[in-house]
Parts: sequence; C-alpha cells; structure tokens
Amino acid sequence: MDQRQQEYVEYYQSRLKKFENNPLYANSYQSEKALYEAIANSTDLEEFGQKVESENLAVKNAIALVKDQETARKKFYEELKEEIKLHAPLRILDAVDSVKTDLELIKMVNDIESEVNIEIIVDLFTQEIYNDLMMLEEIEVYQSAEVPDEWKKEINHERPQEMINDGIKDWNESFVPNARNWDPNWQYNASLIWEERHRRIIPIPDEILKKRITQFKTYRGI
Amino acid sequence: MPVDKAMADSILGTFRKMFQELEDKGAEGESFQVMRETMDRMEKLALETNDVSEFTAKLTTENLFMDFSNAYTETMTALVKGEYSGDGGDELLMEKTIEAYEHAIENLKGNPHYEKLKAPLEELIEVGKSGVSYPVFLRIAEEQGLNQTLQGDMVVRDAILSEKLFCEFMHLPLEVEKHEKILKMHDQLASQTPFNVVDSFQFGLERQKIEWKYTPLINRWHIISRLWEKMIENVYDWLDSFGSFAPRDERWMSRRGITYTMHNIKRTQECNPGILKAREKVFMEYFQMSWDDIFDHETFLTAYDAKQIWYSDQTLELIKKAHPYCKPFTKPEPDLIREAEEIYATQSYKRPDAFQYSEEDKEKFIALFGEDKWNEYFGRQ
Repeated sequence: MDQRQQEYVEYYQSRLKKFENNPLYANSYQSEKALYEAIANSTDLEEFGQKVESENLAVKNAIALVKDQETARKKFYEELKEEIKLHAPLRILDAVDSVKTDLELIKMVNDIESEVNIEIIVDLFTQEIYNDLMMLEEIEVYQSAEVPDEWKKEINHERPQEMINDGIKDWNESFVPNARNWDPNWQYNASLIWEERHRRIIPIPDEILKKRITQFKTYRGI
Repeated sequence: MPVDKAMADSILGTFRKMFQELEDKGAEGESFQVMRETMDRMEKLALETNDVSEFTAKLTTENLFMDFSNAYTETMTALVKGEYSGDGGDELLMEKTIEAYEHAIENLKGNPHYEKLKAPLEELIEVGKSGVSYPVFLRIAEEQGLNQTLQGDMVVRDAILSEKLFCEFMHLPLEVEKHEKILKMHDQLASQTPFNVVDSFQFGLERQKIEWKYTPLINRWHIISRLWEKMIENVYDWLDSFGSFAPRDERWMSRRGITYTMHNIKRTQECNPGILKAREKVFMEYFQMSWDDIFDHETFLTAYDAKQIWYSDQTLELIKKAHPYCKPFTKPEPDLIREAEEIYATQSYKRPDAFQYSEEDKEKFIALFGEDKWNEYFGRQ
C-alpha cells in the first residue's frame, strides 16, 4: 500500500468513527465500514475505485444516511401522532431501496418532501377553528347575554348576525379560494379537528369544543 | 394584475442567481434546459397570478421549486464531473475544493453572520493550502469537526439566544422557557460530540419536540389573557358609563348628537352586565376559572409586572369593588360612581408607566436590534 492509499484509509477510518456507537446512524456505520474495508483491503487506489463503482458503495452510503434519518423521523412523528408529517419518512423509506444513483436519491427525497409539504399545508387549514375561537366566543357572548327586552334585537340578534355575515363573506371570498390554490377539491373536514395533532392545540374541554364546532359551521357557512 | 414586483423578486431572486451562474459557466444539456423552462414558468406565474399567496401556492403545487432544484443538482453534478475528469487527480480536487470555499466566502458577503460563517471556511482553506495531500485535508476536516461546523451551528445557537432575548423583551415567560429548553438541549447534544458541534438533524428533531410540547400551553396562556382583558374592560366601561363625564367621553360620544351619545351610554349601562356574565361563563367552561382567579393568575401578574396593564392601581381596585354589582339589571352603588368620577377628574385612570419599557427592556432591545432602532421606535420615550 502506497502512502496516498494509506492516507485515504485513514480518512475513511475517520469517517467511520463519526458514526461509531451512535444508534441513530446504524446503517451509516455499516455503509461507512464497507467503504473503509474496501479501501483497506484493496491493493491500490484503482482497485478501490473499481470496488466503489461495481458495488455502488458511494450511493449505498448516501442511501444508508437517508434510511437512518428517515427511520428516526418516522419514530419521532409516530410518537407525536403527527399523521401527515409522518407521510414523508414513510414514503421515502418505502422508495429508498429502489434508487440506483445519487441523483435519483436526491430527486426522490425532494419530490416526496415537496408532495408532503403540500399535504401539511392543506391539513393545517383544519386549524382555522382555533383562529376563529375568539369570534365564536363573541358570537356566543352576544347571543346569550341577558339584556333588557329593548336591547335583545340589537345585542342578541343583529350584532352576532353581522359577525356571522362577515365570517361567511371572508370564508367564501378569501379563505376557500386560498385553500383551493393548494388543493382544487379542498373542502373543510370538521372531523379532522378531533385528530390528535389538531385537537391538542385547542386547550378547551371536549364538550365545549363540540359546541364551538357547531358554531364554527354556522359562522363560516359550511 | 401581477404579483408585487418586490415580492416576486425576493422569492425568485435566488433562483435567478443560480440560473445565471450556471449560464455564465456555459452549462448546457437536458437538465439545464429543464432549469430554463422552470425559471420561465416561475417568471410567467409572477405576472399571471393575482397575489403572493396564489403565486406561492402555484410555485409549490406545480412543484417548480423542486423541479428547479433537482435540475440544478443534475447540471452542477455534470459540470463538476466535467471539470474533474482530467488527469489532475487529487491536486486538481484540492484546487477546486479551495476555489469552492473561496467562492462561498465571496457569496457570504452581506450576510449578517458573515464573520462567524466564514471562519470555518478560512480554516479549511488554510489547511488546504498548508501543503497536505487531499486525503489528509479531508481527514483533518473530518477529525476537527470542520465539515460539521460548515453547517452553521454557531449561527443556529446565536439565533436561539436572540429569539430567547426577544421573548424576554416581550415578556412571554412560556416562550422564554421554551427557548431555554431548546438551548439546553442544543448544548447537551453538542457536549456529546468530540468537537462540541451539534448534529443538526438530531437537534432539529429534539427542537421540534420541545416546540410541539409548548404549543398548547402557549395557546392556553393567550386565550386566558384575552378573556380576562375583555372581562375587566366590561366592568370598567360599565361603572364609568354612570359617571357624569360619560357624555363627554369618546367611548360613548356620537357625532350624530347627544341623543345617540345617551343611547350608547344606556346600552353600556344595561347590557354590559349581561355580556360580562356570558364571558364569565366562557371563562369557567374553558378553564374552570372565575373572576376572582384573574388577579392572582400568572398571566395577569406577568402582564402587570411587564407594565402591560393599562389601568392604574386605583382603577383596578375600583373595578374589583364594582364587579359584585355588575350583574344583569342592576346598577353600581353611588359611592363607586363618585370614586370613578374622581379618578376621571384627576385623569388617574391610566397607569403612569403603562406600556413603557424599563431600562432592562431597553438593554435587551438594543442588544437585539441596536441603538439606532431603539431611537427610531422609542426615542421619544
């Protein structure tokens, strides 16, 4: 082994050490090990180059890193019950073994991330009910306020109705067109509110949330 | 009507620059053609879409960002392979690597973190020019953590510190606590690595988890605050509406004349108690909290300490005394009305230092944005 090859052996050894004893990078450790062994067991750099090419070691190394990180992301989103964000690691892990080149790998990951980002944006429209909570409270407060008869029409009926009219107008003229820029078939699906990722950000009891959902449908004309 | 030019420029600027750089290098081939077509489509959308949200949605849903990025990677790879295909071997690789780092330093000019970001690049250039071979250069970069430093970890840590300081300035205790935990996690992960440089992927997950945990707590804090703000205001307005000064106060004065002004006053007098009662019901249903819980609650105490409560102490005490009378179909005691009139006459309803920043706040702001910004925004204070 000449000096240059020995220097490369030491370089690959330093890369291997980076992943040693780190459970997060189990696949990367193995693929780095394969690279290290390939160079350490080659008679010269040319043979090493041939091994890298014939066994596709560089691409396998990139795949291993993607696998490690996506496996960690999968576990992470499962724990957090982030169902939509979970789509990206699931789809990447599903496709990662079928790629043959580094460019294919980059394209596959980018395309899936982009696709899932749109799903995440669309899913976040569900949380509009949280943004509307204050208006829903105001509507309820005015509708139910105990006031003398002469004020009932204005306070209990006209004022909340104005708020509802504004809410429906804004929904139809602004919110829905924006949502349909992201998904042309988008419809508000109130049942998603009860899924953990949305439910957990609305810190009020279930019974009250049920009431707010009914109100929300009226407020937005859904 | 096209998207505002400045907005379109800020969104497309980076892509235009990337395209131009490759065109200047004489890039060609199928992938470069994809870059050109994607760039053209993005420029066309900037002219055809009506607003920035529609524009961004189209760019994303048509996958233009990713198509451009993928084609860029492919074009760059082809260019690099072409440059490296000669017989120069390791020497050429070293030369090109140093060139790339020098180019990166040039591109960083104007970046607010220029000094910090260029330091590891300069260190790498220094190693590269020290006469070591290419594999030794690569090993040193690996062993000394220089490759990881290139990911900009020190800037990430600075950004967390700045965000924490900003939350302190804004008196947001949960956000401050959240950033403290993020910082602690960052330093803990960094301490487990040989060069005290955090694994950005691992840290990203841990950071998300902390943010995820705090979101419902922060939401709860904001809802509680906005509910008591309105409840206090209901009682304050209700009591004042009985004062002799009410017809002259802007809360009730109507441009249409005294009849309308008196109608407004009557509305507050007769409706605010019922509105308050309904608000108290919401407060109880949401958080099992009542009026009496407000003034000892951490949300109120924090706002009070931060001088974010508009009312003077005297007014707050009067509001608390008036609250038991603020019930549907009732009126306040004459003594309370008299006290409200005295406060109004002496203009002592407002806390003298309400919404004023303390010296400590000022120091935090200056640390974040500089003295010029402080003078620009708050110079008259």
